[in-house]
Amino acid sequence: MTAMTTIGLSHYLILSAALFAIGLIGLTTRRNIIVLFMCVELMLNSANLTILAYARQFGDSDFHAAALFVMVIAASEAALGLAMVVAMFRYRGTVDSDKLTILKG
Amino acid sequence: MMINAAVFYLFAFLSVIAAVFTISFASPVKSAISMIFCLFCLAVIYFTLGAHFVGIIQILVYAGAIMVLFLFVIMLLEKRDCESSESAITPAKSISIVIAATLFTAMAAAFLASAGHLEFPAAPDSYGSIKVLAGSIFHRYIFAFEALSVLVLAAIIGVTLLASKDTAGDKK
Repeated sequence: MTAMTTIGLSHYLILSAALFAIGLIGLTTRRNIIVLFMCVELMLNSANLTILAYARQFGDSDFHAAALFVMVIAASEAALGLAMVVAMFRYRGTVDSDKLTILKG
Repeated sequence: MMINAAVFYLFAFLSVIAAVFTISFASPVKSAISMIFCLFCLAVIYFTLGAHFVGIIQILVYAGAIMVLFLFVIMLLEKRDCESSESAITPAKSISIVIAATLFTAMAAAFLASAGHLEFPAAPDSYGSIKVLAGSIFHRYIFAFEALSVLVLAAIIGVTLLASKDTAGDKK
């Protein structure tokens, strides 16, 4: 068995880190609020992948419940966030985060 | 184990590619389609971890429900002109890319140093079975489950309030 044919905890953790970094790049470079929400979902998914990788490492199915709970929270967050985007679009007529400057001093 | 490794490498590669496409497409619709593909690949990776139920819920809830909601809102709001100047690489963008790449390198180095090439230990027979999972959701963590149901109810009420015309914030 070489190192390439056995996969372990570190492989999953590195994939998770890669997805988190990609989500972070998207979050800081994009300006469309809907795409920003998608990047947040991507980062939440990488956190979920970490939870499930450690669940496999410790052989404990309780972590799966935690992953499902994270999914429920992500769903609520997406629904509320998108409703806010719709309300904002109705009020300001744009989904560009650079043009939403009400809180700027 | 060989097949598991091959599936992992294939779908890990595909999910990273899809994630890069998600953040690089100028059109939000194309981003959302790539995101659906990325979430599907992640579900397959959950299967390789033995988390079959979580993977199926990932496909049903994430790739199905949440991303359809995203697509629906994108198509409701889409304005063609709002993404025209996004493709240019500005200094601020390159700084954020460098910071994220540094973060990834640091995390990967730390994971390799601590977990190394450790193989997973053998899982117990009942690992990931729906029976055990139901026991932890509906018995051991019943309070968290009920709290989440309250959270979802609050989200439903909030969304209804935000979406109704009278309370959209402009007129009181």
